[in-house]
Amino acid sequence: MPKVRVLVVDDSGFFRRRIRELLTADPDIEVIGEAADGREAVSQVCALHPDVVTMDIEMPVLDGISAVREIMRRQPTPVLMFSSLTVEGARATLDALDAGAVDFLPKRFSDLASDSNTAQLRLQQRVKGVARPVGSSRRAAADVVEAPPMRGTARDGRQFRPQAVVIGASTGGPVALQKVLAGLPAEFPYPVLLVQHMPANFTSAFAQRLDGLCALRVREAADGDALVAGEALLAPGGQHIGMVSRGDRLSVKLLPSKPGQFYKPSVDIALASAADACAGKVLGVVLTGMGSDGAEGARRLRQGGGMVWAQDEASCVIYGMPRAVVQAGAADRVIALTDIGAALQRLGR
Amino acid sequence: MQIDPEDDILQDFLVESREIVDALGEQLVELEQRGDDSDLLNSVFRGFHTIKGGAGFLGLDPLVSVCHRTEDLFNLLRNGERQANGELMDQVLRALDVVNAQFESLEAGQPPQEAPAELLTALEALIDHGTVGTAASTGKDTPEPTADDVDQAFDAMVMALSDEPDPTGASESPAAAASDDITDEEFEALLDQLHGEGSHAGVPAEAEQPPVGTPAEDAKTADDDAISEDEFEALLDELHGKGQHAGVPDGEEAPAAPALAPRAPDRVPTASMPARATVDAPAGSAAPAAAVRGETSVRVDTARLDDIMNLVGELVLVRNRITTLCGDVGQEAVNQAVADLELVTSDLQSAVMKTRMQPIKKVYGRFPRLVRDLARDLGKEIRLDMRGEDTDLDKNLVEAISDPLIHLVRNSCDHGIETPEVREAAGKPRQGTLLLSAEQEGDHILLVIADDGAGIDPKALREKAVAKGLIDAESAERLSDKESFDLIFLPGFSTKEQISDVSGRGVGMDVVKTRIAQLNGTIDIDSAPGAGTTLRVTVPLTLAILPTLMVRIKGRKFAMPMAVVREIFSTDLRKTKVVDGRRVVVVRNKAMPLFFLERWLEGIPGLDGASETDDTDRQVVSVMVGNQAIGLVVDNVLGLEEVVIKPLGTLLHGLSGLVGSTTTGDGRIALIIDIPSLINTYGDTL
Repeated sequence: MPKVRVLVVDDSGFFRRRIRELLTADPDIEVIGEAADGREAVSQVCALHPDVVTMDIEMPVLDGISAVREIMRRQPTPVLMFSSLTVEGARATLDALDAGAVDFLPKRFSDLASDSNTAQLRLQQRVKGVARPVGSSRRAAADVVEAPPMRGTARDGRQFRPQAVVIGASTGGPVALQKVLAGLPAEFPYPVLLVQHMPANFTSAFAQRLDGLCALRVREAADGDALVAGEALLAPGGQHIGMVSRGDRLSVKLLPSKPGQFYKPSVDIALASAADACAGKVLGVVLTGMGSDGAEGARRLRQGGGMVWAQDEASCVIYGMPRAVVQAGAADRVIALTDIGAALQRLGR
Repeated sequence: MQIDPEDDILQDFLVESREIVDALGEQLVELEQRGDDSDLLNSVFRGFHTIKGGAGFLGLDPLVSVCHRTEDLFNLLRNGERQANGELMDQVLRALDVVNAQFESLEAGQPPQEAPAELLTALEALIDHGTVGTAASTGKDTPEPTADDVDQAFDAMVMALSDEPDPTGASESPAAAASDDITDEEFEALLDQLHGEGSHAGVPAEAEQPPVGTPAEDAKTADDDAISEDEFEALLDELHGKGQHAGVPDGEEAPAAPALAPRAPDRVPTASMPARATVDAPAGSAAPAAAVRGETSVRVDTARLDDIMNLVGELVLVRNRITTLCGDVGQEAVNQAVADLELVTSDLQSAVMKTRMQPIKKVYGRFPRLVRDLARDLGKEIRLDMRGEDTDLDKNLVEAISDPLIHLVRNSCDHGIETPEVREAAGKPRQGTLLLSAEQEGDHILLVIADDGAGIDPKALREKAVAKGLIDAESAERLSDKESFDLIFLPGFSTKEQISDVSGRGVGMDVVKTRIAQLNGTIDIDSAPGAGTTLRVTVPLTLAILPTLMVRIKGRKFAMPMAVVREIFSTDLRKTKVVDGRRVVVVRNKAMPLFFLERWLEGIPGLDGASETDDTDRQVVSVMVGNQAIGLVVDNVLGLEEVVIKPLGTLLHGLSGLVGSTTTGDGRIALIIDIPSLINTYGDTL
């Protein structure tokens, strides 16, 4: 297997050397070049054709976000951003994702994992993950088909009137969620709960951003918030979210994460608790993302009579989580990203 | 926390950060002039950002916390949400001082000290409210949630969770718990099923057991949930079987695999995962040396450079020797080879010297800040103009010249430049200008410190010197204005009635002059009352190789540093006069005292001794001692020679009049004369 060829971009030589050390400790990764500012990065990308670019945001001459935009224009390449996990860092990172970056990692590697070996492995794995999006090996997924409709009904959602829609996403999710929500009208008749893997300081900025972009009202969920039509709640980062039902009212419940749980909020937990709260009346949608968070929750949701959609491989940045859902036999439908908004609007009609 | 100052990664960080901090010092002062320059603001922001990043990587939290706040503040500044003002700059400069102190700790192998809480509070107040004052109290109470805070909160939570396997959801939000405690339990159950304790990496073995003391919950779980543990395990096997998550020891990253593995601590798949990871890791770390590529610089211990310099010095000596011998052999081919050797040796010498060169910026870089602080303290307006900061000189010299220069700059700000009011009254612009320049002139560096201040009144200097009893009134009368300026280099001279905090007490210009002389440098002062003062300092490019004048006295060779030599002339000693008990020769109508080095050598006392032998044509080397030209009488002047200074052995060490010894071209030893100390010590007997 050829090595993953990486271009490291950072204005700090110290960081370039650290990233190089961490990445090249993996025999499958090769650092083919370094750049100290955005302009250098763009010309290196054009000259070296790396498989992955790791990109700092704050740089002289040309900043990381503009560099990503330029790279996407001239030589589209998967770009991993290194971000500060701060509120300010969140805005910049979301801008970078908008500009076309695939994913982001905390610049403080200790935020990846408490021990450095694990952090190193995660870093390497993320680089390899975005370098070879599973989409490039389409064969592997060819045998996967949609789960047979349960109870013999055609479950395209036209007869399904959910009490809530839960959408989960990871890598590639911020952009995907923007696309889905932007297609929904302000009077979308079902409450929406969004679960995006994100650090704690990022979600409020992301909610603000979505709110600005979409007709639907979007805000970060607080403990005990009611789920109401016309509003989407974004699960806050760093903790888990679940759903509780009291009478016919649904509200969200926040729960601290436990040590070792890397994905917080967890899509599995959100979907599973939705299944417990009102199993038959929830639509779960699993969008792009690395890993398989959401598959088990989707399974439980569907078992309880709920409906599950998974994003299709072609439109995924990383076809990991949706594939896990499909492989678990939990997907009622596999839908392209651009069609999800329309499909949501057809629900129950 | 253990700090190993030799650690390569820490060193790497320190080297880079030091550069950034030095640049920040200048940029911040510049910012006071151009507070809205967005490039400048951006680059200051990035400076703190980069240091914070590196410090975060190394887990140097005290460094992170101060840089983080400063970075946040500059983010507001560059976005135009705050304006830089004196108050803000004072805090930021303090923050920079703290960072500097933290670096010093690190370099000394000490963990860095936490920044003073009051500074952090002030920075936060500036971030939140734009001022330190109004917000001192609120700022403290409501710090911005930072990543650190969140981490700490998280850590606390983790601690709580691992201490007590009991459901914490119930105690989490009491209000909610009252109304829907059942759901809390259900959540706990969910959590346990989905992310069973058994899967947590690094959690002690006992924690992998189901929570003790909550049997009800377990029972409930088993009853309610359609999915059994077996199915979870099956799912895990399925996912694991695809090999998607290889290499993730705790499995949380790619979420599911081990995360979903419930209470099955002894299951084979889970057990095998970490094992696999550990096998992977060493294999990975043995990765090819590709990491070396792209490095264009190496760090070398200065001691090693000193060794190399020494060896080159020896080589220079051998070359000199061969050159001398070659004159005797006189064969064409040999001459050619020797000429080549000379060329190569010279090139090598300058190449090695270059490795030790550092830009004078290392010293000059401190001045913007220094001048700024002084101006603020003294209530003056001073513009600093720096030129030639990239001029290189020997590392040792950069360090050695630093203190004298700082002293001179302080002097110029304190005594030279007037207060704005005084300047205006004198018809000058309110803002004074201080020029600092550096340039290479041949084998030495010329540093100029010039101000457009009040200048020095030579008459006042003379009166002062007489009043202080440093010179007698008669000598004072004879001094030219130019010579009068040199009076300030006399020990114990201070022109200011009130000694200010700024430019020292007692440690005056004489110390500066001595320090510069020790570096084989010179200092020269010129001033025009009302128009300003100019100080010229020259220092050699390097301390290791000394251009000297070789002379012979009583058959022995001596080397005199060229820096002090003014001229060489021959004279007939019979035409000299005795003035004031000292033999003098009149040169260009001025009396120059003569000193006879052979008396020092032979310890002959008395004024005229045996010096009359062959006195019709003696060589006199005129040198500068302090501000006075004196003549040293020698037997022969042999010529210029670059010598490598070797310290004297312990027996001779500290002997005044000698700086060291060297091996000359003919292979013999020559002592290097330290003329100022020689005259100071033996002047009366020579």
